[in-house]
Amino acid sequence: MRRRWSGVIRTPLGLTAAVLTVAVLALAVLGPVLWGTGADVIDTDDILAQPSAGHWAGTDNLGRDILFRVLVAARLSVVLALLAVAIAVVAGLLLGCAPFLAGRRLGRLVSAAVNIAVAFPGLLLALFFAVVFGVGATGAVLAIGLAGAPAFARLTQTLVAGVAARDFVAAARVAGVGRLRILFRHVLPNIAEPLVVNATISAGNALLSFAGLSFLGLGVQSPSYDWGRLLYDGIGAIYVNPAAALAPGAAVLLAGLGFNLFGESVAKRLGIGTGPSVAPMARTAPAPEAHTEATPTDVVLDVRDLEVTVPGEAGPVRPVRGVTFQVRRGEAVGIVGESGCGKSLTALAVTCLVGDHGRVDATRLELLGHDLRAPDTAVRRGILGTSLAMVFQDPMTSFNPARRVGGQLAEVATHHQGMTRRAAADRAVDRLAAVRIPDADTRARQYPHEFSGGMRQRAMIGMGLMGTPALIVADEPTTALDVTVQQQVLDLLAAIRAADDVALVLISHDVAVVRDVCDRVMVMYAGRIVEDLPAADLADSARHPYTRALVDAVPDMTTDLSQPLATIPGRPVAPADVPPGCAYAARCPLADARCRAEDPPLTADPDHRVACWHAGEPLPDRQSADQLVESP
Amino acid sequence: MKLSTAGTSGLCLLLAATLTGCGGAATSNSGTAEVVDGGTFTLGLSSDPGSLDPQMGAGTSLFTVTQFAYDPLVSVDRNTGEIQSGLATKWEVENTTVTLTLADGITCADGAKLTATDVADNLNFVVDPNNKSPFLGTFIPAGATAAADDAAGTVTITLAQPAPFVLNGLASVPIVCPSGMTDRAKLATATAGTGPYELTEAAPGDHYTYKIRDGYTWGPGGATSATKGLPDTVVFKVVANETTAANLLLSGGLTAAQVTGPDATRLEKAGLFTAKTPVIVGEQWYNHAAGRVTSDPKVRMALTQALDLDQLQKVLTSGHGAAATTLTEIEPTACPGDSVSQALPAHDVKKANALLDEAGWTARGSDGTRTKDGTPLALTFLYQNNNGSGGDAAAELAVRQWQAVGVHATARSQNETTLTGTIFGAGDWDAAWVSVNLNSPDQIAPFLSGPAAPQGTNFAAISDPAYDSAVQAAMATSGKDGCDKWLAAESGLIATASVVPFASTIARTFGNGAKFETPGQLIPTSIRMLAR
Amino acid sequence: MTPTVATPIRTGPLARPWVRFGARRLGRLLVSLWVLVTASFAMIHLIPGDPVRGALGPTAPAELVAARRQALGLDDPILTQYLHYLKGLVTGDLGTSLSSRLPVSDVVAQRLPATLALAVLAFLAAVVVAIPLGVAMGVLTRRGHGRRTELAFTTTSIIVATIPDFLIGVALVYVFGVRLGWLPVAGDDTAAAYVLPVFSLAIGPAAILARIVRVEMVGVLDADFVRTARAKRLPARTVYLGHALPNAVTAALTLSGLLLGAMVAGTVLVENVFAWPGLGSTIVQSILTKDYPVVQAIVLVYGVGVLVVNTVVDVALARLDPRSLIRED
Repeated sequence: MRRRWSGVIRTPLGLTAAVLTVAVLALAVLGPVLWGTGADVIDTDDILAQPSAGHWAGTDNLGRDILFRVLVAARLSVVLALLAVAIAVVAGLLLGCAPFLAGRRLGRLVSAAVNIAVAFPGLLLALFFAVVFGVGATGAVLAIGLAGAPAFARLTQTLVAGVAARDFVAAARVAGVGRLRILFRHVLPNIAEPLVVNATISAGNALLSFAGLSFLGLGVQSPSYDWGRLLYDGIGAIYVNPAAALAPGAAVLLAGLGFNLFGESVAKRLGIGTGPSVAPMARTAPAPEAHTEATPTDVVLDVRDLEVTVPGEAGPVRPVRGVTFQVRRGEAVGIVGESGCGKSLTALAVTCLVGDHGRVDATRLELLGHDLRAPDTAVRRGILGTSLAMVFQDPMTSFNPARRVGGQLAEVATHHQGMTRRAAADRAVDRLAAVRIPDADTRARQYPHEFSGGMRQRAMIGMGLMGTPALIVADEPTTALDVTVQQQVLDLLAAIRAADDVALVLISHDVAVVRDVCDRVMVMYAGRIVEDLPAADLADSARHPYTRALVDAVPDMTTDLSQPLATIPGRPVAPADVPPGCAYAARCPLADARCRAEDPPLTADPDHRVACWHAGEPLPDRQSADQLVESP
Repeated sequence: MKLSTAGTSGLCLLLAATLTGCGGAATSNSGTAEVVDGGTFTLGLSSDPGSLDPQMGAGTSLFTVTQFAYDPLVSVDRNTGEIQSGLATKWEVENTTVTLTLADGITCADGAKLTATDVADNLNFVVDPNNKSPFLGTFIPAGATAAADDAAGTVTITLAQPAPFVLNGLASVPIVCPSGMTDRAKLATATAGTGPYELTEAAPGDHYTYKIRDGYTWGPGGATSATKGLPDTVVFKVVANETTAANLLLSGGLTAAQVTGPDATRLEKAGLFTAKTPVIVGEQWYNHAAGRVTSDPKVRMALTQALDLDQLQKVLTSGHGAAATTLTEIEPTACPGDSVSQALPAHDVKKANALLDEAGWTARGSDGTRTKDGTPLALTFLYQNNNGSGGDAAAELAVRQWQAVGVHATARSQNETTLTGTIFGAGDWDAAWVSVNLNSPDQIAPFLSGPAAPQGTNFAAISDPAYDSAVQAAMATSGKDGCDKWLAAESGLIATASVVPFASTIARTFGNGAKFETPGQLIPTSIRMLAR
Repeated sequence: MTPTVATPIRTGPLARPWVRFGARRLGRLLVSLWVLVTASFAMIHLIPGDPVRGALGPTAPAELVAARRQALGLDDPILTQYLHYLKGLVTGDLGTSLSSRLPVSDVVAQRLPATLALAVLAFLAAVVVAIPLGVAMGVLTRRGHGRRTELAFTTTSIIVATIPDFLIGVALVYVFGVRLGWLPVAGDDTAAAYVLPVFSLAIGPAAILARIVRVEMVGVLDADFVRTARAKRLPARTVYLGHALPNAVTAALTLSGLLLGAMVAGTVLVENVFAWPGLGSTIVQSILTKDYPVVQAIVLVYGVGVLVVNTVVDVALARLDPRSLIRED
């Protein structure tokens, strides 16, 4: 955590803010010590003087130097602000933890009270408490402190609820650990960071609130003085000696800014964390390569030497390193592999959806003969919009939650097919029915959250069918669904393919699904295609050790139940750590020195390509359970 | 004979810098601008007048607006101090009988004629203690009765005892028309008077609009509403913030406003017309009541000498003020002169310390505060919050100077209502800065002698036999002939530090697009609108 | 793989989710109102010690304190006072001002329009400026783009948001009112008089709002459904305005509700700078003079305003984000 906090200082904003904050705190400590006596010197012959060499900010009603007074006032201002924040945090913590500690009914009561209080702006609450506690420093501290408590209570409540919902807390509760104990040992340490960050920002706001209250005359009263009180005195003379108000005003501003910016910087660094990024690389349109071979006319998707580069912690990495394949009309191609092998990125790349996430390079990338590497035009958008259908992995988030489903489907038709809104709406309903969503008419007017997962996925497919797609690219379309619903979606895809001769690229980590649905299967590992074979040959004719391991790992009805489940030892290699040789060598039972040194190329046989020095060789016997322990 | 109620309704006449008398030629920087008739005169008020009943309130803003809709029986010339006509054209004072003859054809805003009986009813209303008018005892002596002769058009006032400046007092009593006398409640939000203007629209807290009345001929010294240069409409705008008022003056949003703080310099530099009037702003009182630390005259003298009054004056007025001249220096002053400078105790810290030692406050506490028999010498010190930062600074300075001689004073800044509530209700205080601004010495006598609060308005519980007998003698002499005696009596009080007037300033009313006169109050018939 | 169930299609009057939502929201509003009224009543009684003594100062004589207590009805039992207060609210009798003796309801009625106008105009100004600015910034600084723009924008908006509105107000008065003389500087009825106060009030919230809209926009542009919209090859304008904006605005809308509430509070400060004849200047004076009935009434008015604004925001949110209609809160 310290490393993350210290990282704040590295940004220019964070550095400035930190410097300001430290300066203010130093001033609070040292101010009265250094300039206390100077600030007290009365000179009634020099009342309300303009700035001069002797008095850089002029003098006040008693002839006292205003600049010194501002410097000395730092202590009271900062102390009062910090006190107010402390009150706000403590009160907020108590109120916010109450629902967790006190049980349902009392907790809901407190929660409701906090919600009502939080609705009111801080200044109003402060005025309310100022009436109760009276005018003056004590009253103002209490007022601002209590006025800030509801916000902290709400924040604490949310944070506590977030942590309390986690499994380990539930486990502790089940184990009989007391609530108070859980609060202190588990919950509070986890929420400390955001609370501290918010408290820092709050300190800045408290400073400004104090200035406001004192400006109205409700805060610190003379003879004590804080920045706000100096402002109150100075405002009256602003047209005569602007410095009398500008000096304390600047002090308030800088101190408030310092605290606020510091808090913001920390929040930014710990929270959103933009991290290192790669400047969007200029898309140089590569010179279109001359086609070395005539492209058969039924090729829907033609990909050659596809590479995707994305920014990484230590520099750009390449999760997709040279992928070449073709998809013909009506053909179903599956892409399988473990997580991180680059299959999803491949899908995004061939459909031009990588966007700002990375850079796509390819020798050839064509959909229905259209070069996808060329710059985006309305025409190309239209073609892609109607000839290509995408189905993404997570149906829960793939629809716009704020718009009705029917409208989201109809959009495709109004933008790309020139239909009127009415016609497009009708077509949307028709398509929803085509993907077997009952009551399509009513459903079209509903919002995505009213659909089940499977229905959403089917609606997604329906959206792709608004045009006349030649290719459907489905990235893990059934992973997030129930097994029974999975089958429905897959059946639907099959039906569509059969009806319109639509090609399908199905990406999945589930070998069994791909085997059932697809004609051909491509196996990817570490950004490369390692084998490309007909689906029917998967069970018996796979030649790459990885493919065979994948196939073996899937149990079926004939698996010997007395043996341990087959797994592939080791982990997939991260894109940043790809070795020079064959990426699978570390986990391969057949690997030798050549494998580790040289990366095997993909053979050219169009029916069955494989990239392995030992393709087709028999594998040693299955490992015993003991040897399945992963080596570091 | 004052009545407690009179006091608590806030004789705010006392309180601070307002347009209270002070004649003097108004310096006009817009010199040669041409006078135009009609137009709107917008005057800034620092606070809302509240209830508009002219005889039941003593707020400073109320006094200002009352001048426009109501008239008193007589007026006073600011330069000579001579009594001039008001509603009455002839007057005669003989011992305890005052006879006034009303002008002919006085009409009220609603058209009714004003008769002598109406006037007598007014005076009797104020004099009746049950009505709790704050004017009782100050502007009309208590115990007076009024009778009227409608045929002759005269009003006869019979006094309980001779009052040398009774006419000066009557110049501050506005006369209410019969419709207002019968329906008193209406007067809170509407006007029923004989004045040159009448209220046509009221937005309490924001502004009040008055329109001119044609046919008005009984103004001070015979002024009429037909004079060229009078505005057709007068708008009183409540602008609490002085800086805003100054801005409005400069931009033309206001035609006139009184500005006393640092912004006045700005306005002077801009060359705006200024009407000036002196007013006491710093006057220190002690609580003479038994049981208070300040009941000991030695303590009072010590406290006075411990202060550098000159310095306090400078701070209080931000360098713009001067020492006070008399206790009643607002215009039109009945007795001009100087009763203060010779009598005021000099700044002498050594003597102050010696006096406190003599008074028995010899022991010292841990923080340097003197103690006697275990009780520390602690003061509760009140001051009104209407002098801005200058007031706060001066109070802070006074506390410091008292601390230097071992007196622990706690300063409290209070608003008008709270302050008057305390002093007139015999509350808990020892020293207070209360500016009692009045026109004539007999008006201030009840504050300096007689029954203490809450029975009377002698809120400081001053009991000085020398002053009492001097007053007796002065009361016997009529009018201005007695001024010497009055001033001498005042000096006596000041010399014994019973009351310490230490600061006076010139209250300035600035004008942009008009000129006017402010002898104490802004005189409506003195306004001359100028071409922009 | 969490199984999700489709919402069954209901029938009948309660079918409209709006009706259920409306009923719930109304209930919440009524409860909040009751809490507000009780809090405003309790304000005087929460004051430690004797509130009247506090108002008149420790120096006031005991009889005066007693008389004032009686005038305020503070000697009756609490419940009686409470019921009397409630009855007064219903009949429109908010008591009498202690300093001006005018009925409080008159004072409030006369000063409310000015404050309302100021707050509403400032809010509209802030929204009209901030949302397009935020959207534009969001598009400019989306993932991987415009690091420097983002830094400059964030820093500027934080600084602008931090400067207290009354300081801005005073500076504006000095520059535009007195120095340049272009605009009026104190409460007025002309349109020009609104410019400076509205600007002072709106600029801070506008900066905050624009920042939030930008952040939300950047976040939303990364969302899956935006990817879907891009996959549908919709033109950029449609993606940003038709898909991203409604989702980005949800958080901004919640914030605007809060900002309007804060602006209502900001009127207190700004009114004091510009001598605006509204509730803000009145409440400060009343607090200083301890004119409790007026303070109570204005606190009530402000509170009701804030609650109403929140309700309106919730309704607008529901329109934009239908999920909140059925969400249990």
